[in-house]
Amino acid sequence: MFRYIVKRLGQTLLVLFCVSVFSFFLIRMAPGNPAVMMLPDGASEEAIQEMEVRLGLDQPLYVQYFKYITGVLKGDLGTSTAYRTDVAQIIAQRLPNTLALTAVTVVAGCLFAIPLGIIAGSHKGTAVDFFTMLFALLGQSMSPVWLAVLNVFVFGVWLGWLSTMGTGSVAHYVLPVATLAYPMAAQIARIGRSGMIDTLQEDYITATYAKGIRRFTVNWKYAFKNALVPIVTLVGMQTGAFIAGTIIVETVFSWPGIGQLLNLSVGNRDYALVQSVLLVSAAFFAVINLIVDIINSLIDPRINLR
Amino acid sequence: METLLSIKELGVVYHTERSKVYAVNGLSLEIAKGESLGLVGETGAGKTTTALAALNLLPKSAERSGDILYEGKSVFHMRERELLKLRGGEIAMIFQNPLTALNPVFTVGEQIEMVLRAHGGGKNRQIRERAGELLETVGIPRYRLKDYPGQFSGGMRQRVGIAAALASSPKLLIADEPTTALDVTIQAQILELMKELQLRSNMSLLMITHNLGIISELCQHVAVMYAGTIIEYGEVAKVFKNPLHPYTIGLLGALPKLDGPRSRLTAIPGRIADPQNLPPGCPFHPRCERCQEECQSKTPGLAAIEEKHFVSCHLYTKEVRP
Repeated sequence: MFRYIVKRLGQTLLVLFCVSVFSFFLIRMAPGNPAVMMLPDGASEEAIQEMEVRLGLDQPLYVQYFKYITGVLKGDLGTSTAYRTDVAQIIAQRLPNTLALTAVTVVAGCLFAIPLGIIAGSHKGTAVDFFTMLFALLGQSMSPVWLAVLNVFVFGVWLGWLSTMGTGSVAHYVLPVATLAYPMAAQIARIGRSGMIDTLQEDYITATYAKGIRRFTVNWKYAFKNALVPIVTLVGMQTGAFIAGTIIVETVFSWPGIGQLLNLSVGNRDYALVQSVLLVSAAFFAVINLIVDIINSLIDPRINLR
Repeated sequence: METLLSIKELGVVYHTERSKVYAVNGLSLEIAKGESLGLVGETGAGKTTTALAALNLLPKSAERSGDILYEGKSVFHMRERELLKLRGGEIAMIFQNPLTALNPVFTVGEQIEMVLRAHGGGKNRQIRERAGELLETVGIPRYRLKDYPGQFSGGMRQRVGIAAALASSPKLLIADEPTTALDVTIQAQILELMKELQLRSNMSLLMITHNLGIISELCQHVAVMYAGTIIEYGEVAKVFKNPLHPYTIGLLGALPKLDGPRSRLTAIPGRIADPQNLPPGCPFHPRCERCQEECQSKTPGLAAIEEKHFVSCHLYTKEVRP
């Protein structure tokens, strides 16, 4: 187990290296220039060139990359051109907001969707199943952009029940969490249902009934554990995706997290900040995947960590 | 002897989207306390369906008729609580394929312990202790309780299945082709084990198989099944020495013999009756060499030919009732 974790972390470093290369070159392929963005409108050509020299943008790309990556290895993520402060500091300020939003979303989504999927799967063909599938179909068909705007319009503007901007209170969580959690819950419910349906057809479930085990226990203990592996995998992937890119939701609800930050910094051509946000998200994604694999190997002994 | 399980005119029809599958058709059978009965038949004869019906475990899509009485009480009309006691407690079952009959994500210990907890209970330590004993009874060391099914071979898993079935000291053990999925040497070990355990605990055994050798090893009585009904029933020695139904004669003729002059094995022509489209009259008539006009329209009933030997065939009922 320990050796496996070390090995996986080694692989993660390789992935992060690739991410650093891609993010570095991709953002530089975008039209626009941070030097221009930093100067007031109508700045002279000379001023721009001077700024480029100050930012090191006049040097060849590989030199710039080398400087960047050696900085990262030393723990220096660079300086934001838009905020004129340390990138690490900005991210450290924003990351807790995204993590909090993600955590609440994932916990709420799982608490709601996992039981729903299990009940639907073990009562296939009943009304509960029908409404679960309807719920899932809607959740998976709605674009998050539309869902976010719909939530703002209905609950924020029309009914005026909930705040649609920023953080601060529990009420602030409701709309962004609902917007993020609904499509996620739809997917979890669906995969939980199909996992239960498959499992309940297995011989070992008939064998469990033949041992005189109650239906409730069969469903929630003996079949549930079998249906859990795909659920955990899905939850892991979605958690990673939430940390990396709740751009739409954070932007619509003015949630000061790193999704919104990424959106702003791309607009500002804030190279150092874009690169670092992507790197941090990728690192989270990799670690979550590792955790998912470890959890799954604990659930299902047939999954071998090697 | 006192009757333990009595199946009366059992009929099971599975409804699929396109058609009806007549899996069991008017099957009657009795098992006495301590008796071991063999149920033989080809694949698709309705053997497993009969076994699951005895535990009231047929899927909802199955339409049942007739009745099954356990100690005089209808299994079909039992309440949920009584059924939970019956399943695993009174009647235990060993499944055909040990590779799929154990839950892969629970330890074998848990799969034995769940029976103990459901029937009797007790403290966790006692349950664990008892599960270890059971595992040792079937020849697996106790420390393997914490291993998962995937860490065992097929034969070992079937032993675990037997240990779990025996956990609550059931009065009837239904073994649904317990050795079919295993290779021959392992088969012998498992059968030896079952024979020993049955004799020791005086439980009844319903051995479902298509292997006639197993029946002669283990059982006192044999019921031959064809197209969801019993076509011949009697003491093993009588039926095997003097088979009456052309199907039974065919089954025995298809077995190679070690002694006596070598002769060609005879195969029964044709295929087993299609349960979605059963022939009228005697279900065996399309394959029967001695088929008569009557067989094509009239279904024969089970009739006693000699003491403890019954057959369902027009050839013999005529002889008895001229």
